[in-house]
Amino acid sequence: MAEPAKAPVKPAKEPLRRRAVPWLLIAPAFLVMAYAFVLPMLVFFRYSVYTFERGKLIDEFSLATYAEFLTDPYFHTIIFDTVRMAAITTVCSALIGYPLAYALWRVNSPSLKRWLGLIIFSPILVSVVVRSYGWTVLLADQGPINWFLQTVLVFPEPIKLVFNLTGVVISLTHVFLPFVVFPIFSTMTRLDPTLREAAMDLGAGWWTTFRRVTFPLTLPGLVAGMQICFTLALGAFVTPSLLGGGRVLVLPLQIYTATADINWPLAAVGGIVLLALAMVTVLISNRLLRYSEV
Amino acid sequence: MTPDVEFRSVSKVFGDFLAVDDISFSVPQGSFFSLLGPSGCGKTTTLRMTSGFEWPDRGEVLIAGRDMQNVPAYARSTNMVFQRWALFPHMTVAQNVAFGLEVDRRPRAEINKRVGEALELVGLSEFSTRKPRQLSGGQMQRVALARALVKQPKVLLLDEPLGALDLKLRMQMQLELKRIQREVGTTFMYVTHDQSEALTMSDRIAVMNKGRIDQLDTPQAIYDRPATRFVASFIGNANLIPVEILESSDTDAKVSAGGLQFNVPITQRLTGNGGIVSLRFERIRIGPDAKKQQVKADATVRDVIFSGSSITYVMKLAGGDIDLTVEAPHDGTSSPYSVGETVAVGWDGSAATAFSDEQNDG
Repeated sequence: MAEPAKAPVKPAKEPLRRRAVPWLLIAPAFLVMAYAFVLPMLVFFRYSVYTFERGKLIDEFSLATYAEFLTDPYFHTIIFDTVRMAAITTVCSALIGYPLAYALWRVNSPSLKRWLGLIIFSPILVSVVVRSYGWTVLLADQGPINWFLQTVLVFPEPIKLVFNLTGVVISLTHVFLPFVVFPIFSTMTRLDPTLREAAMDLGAGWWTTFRRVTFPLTLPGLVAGMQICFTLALGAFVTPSLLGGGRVLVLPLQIYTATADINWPLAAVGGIVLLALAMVTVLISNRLLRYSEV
Repeated sequence: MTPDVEFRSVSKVFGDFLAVDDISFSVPQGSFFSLLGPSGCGKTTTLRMTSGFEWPDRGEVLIAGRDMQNVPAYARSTNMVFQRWALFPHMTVAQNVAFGLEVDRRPRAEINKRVGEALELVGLSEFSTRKPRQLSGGQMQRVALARALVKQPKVLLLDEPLGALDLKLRMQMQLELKRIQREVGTTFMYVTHDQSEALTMSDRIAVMNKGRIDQLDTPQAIYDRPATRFVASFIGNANLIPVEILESSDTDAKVSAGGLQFNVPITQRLTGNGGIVSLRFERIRIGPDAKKQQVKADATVRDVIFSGSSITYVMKLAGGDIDLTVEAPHDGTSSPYSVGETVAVGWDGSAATAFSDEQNDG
């Protein structure tokens, strides 16, 4: 006897109330993002296609501001200086941050670990203005560092440490250090400790173990940390303006100057270039991360 | 012949905890040696002292006759298969296996040849370009084995390598490990808490308890003649019957329990009046078979547990408060006894072992 054909089973629909929950949870963030990010971005783009001539805003579509920005050597220098400052800061942070994260990971005593963590985190707790003035005192020609260099190491002249790129890089490295250290540290703590034992068991000493096992497996943390550091450095405003002494002209400062001149189109284009640089950074680091995929 | 591994009065403390307490043993060349015991008994610490990840606080560890006092892990002729295998996740199977040889700076041609051979030994030749995350547990297990064996260690150390596998695969890997050990002839030092693993594979087993070795012998000797009460209860399933010791000599004792008097062999001199007799579930006969045994009694069936190849009866001895668990083979022909029935039980005198009550368990 043939059985009657059964209707194919379809997945039952979830009740509306349950489906609505994720959307309700997203809603506040979504509204804030829409009002504080998407809308301003649209305004931003609109201003970037206007022009500013003889102190007047001309609200007609034109790519002239872009053309000016991208062809004028003055703006090239600004873009180049911004990228250079961010790159040097990122490299310095990585060179100091990686060993620091490694030390934080290898320290056995929990109380020492807590203190070390707090010290690394401390620059964030101090206001940027206070921190910057602090650095100007420390790095000044008559400051303690130059005093040490001249009296102890017998330097003939004080080294110019502040009101130039050096001072900006030192201060930015200081404040961005936690953003580099903690991502690296967190990949290290997620690393299976027996992997290092396995490497040593197979005959690898400390350096080979580090080079072939620990470092490749913590590379994602380093890349993430450097990406955060680079993007933050691109957008740094207070530090370059206070410690650059007018000699470090970077995009955020140029944008500020443009807004002060009510040259909205130029400020908007500067902002968009800054955004593009940040996005390129993200793309590059995503590409780098693909190499260290397990 | 120099033993491959030798421990001489080795102790190890972690803070206040005495993890390994003055143990001495030696592992003959080419043998399969197991350290068996419950968690926290010191077996893994013993293995880690052999590999060089832990240092003894007292005593000496020798590998192939050489004192390992100042020899770090990477310079020892031992290699380890880790509990969760510890494969390098960013390297392929072949790169994992080649790692130890690359570190030794062997020529490329030799590395390729030996990696190929090692992968063939464990049957993973086709998987050489896969990453560990693309492998099953059993395959990762084999890679870990190949990675350690490719270095041709004097001693291969295995730290519960089968613990994370499911039962069927575990049994299959046990036979495979034994085959590989025979094929390569390397000394295996194997840590496990699984007695069936140790019994299946080992030439010799050291049963550890609370940092000491309770018994070191062949699997059969450990099963049949447990040296301590701990060994008797840890290995296999045994009834532990409290008894009164009537008289005892160097080799056996006369005991009484619940109105039943019988002779039991002993492995340690008995002291005091109270004792414990250990009697394996499967050494007790039930029904007509029981009549031919040296010790006989009647018992009431209180519970019947059917488990396929065998039937387990929980019984109460007549005229006493003594519970007995009996495991009878299930041959599919006779029907099991039912609850409430009274049947004859009996066992051979040599099936049991008696221990003192006051006896120190370790």
